[in-house]
Amino acid sequence: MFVRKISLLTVVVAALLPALAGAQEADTALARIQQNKAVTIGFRESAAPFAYLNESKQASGYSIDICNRIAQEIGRKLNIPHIETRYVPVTPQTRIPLIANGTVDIECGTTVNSLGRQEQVDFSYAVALAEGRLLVKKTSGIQDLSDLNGKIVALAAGTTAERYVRAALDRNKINVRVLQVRDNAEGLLAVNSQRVDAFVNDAVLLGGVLRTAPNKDDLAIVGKPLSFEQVAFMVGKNNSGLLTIVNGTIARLLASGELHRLYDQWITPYGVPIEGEVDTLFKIEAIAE
Amino acid sequence: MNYQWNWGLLLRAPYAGWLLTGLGWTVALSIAGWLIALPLGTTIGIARTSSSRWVLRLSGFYVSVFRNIPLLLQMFVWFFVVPELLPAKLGLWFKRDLPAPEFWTAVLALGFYTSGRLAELFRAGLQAVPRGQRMAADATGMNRAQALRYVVMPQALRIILPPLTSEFMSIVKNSSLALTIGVLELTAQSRQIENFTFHGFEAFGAATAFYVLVALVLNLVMVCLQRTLALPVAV
Repeated sequence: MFVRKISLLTVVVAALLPALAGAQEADTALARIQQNKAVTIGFRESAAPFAYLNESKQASGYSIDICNRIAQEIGRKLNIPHIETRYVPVTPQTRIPLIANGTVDIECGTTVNSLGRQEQVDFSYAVALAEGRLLVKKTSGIQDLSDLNGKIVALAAGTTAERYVRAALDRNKINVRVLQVRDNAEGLLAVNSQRVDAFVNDAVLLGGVLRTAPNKDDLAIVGKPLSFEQVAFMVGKNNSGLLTIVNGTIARLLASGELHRLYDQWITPYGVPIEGEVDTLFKIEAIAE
Repeated sequence: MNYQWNWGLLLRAPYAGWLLTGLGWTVALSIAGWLIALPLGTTIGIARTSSSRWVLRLSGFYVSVFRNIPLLLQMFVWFFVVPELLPAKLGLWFKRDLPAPEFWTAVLALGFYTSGRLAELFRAGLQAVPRGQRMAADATGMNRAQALRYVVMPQALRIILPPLTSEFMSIVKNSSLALTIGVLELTAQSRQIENFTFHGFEAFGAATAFYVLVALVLNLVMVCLQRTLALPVAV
């Protein structure tokens, strides 16, 4: 009886698997947009200034502004006059399933591009650089990674910081203990309560932490950037048509200087202006017509 | 569904190692938490059957505090609040110098929470032993401690063995909440794999399989224990 049940279960699972793996047609997202006359944007609710819910509970931020322009461009390309833009909140845990099952067409948040992740989704051109830096108490005297030997460092769960921090530490033969914190607020709490000596995260996000910190005069963001990672938008695999429109829109916004204006409006106040690597990136990505 | 399956990924370095260390932390959390919960829970459970009104009240208060406050909240209190209430030096030691402070904080939270649940289990078990047993012990000249040790407790333990098994399984599953204070146990490691590779279904699938495996092993051990301890006469 038991054996029969198991074999029945195996048959059912085996029958379902190809159905799951099947639908691999190209540009399913564009077909979906055409059918619904709407673009669904996945956004993060608390990743200011990239994407967050503002005071009136509307999706807003740097990534959202760019994606709204992308949605308009999709409407023009597909000849849908009044294309609707829908916003679906995503978290680091739900973003992949929601893209995989077609709930979300484009994810517009603070997702970092990596080769490992590219096996699962495709990324657009970068719209910002994530530079890993250190948030410390001024009294700690920590200036750079080399001051961290024997210290404790906080990393935010759900980021890729762990990888480059470990690499940098191994390269410089520095020995630290790592504590994972859930989000930026907890990272700040860990620094303030002396649980850790430094909190490593993207400089823009740390800038946001510093702005809201009650004791911002006691804190500083220090150190040479530990990494340059690309912040980009995600689309499902096999959607080259959609990805072409996304990338084309970013390139045109860069060429016209509008993206620079959005960047200055949203990101520059957080302490990472368009200079150095960001400037170079924007020049390279402004691909001509 | 537009998803690229890759189960082989779980066997590759470093992800296989992450899963196994995660499993190790989960087992360590559960056992260490259990070692706090069992003696504490037994003591408080016995106190709950005391005839002294003060002991009854105090133990009742203990149970309502640790059993009624959600475990997640208790974790946060142990992690964020308790060290700040301690004298500065001790608090700093608790936060920094103790080896693996997150782990021990989680063990405390798990242990105390489970002890509150075990206390009620022991109380119910002790009260389920027929009153005549206690009276018979009295009649043979045993004092209360002896009656508890030689007559009532051995029978109560056998009665509560099956629900005790569920509590042991619960502590394994509850240990996943330790990820909120930074312990990289099984669930945290599978999240980490999801985050690095975007193969979340595979990572969480593997974690699920490990949890089921631990539960099955536990169940097997407890069934064996039950068989060994079974009395010729049913209680």
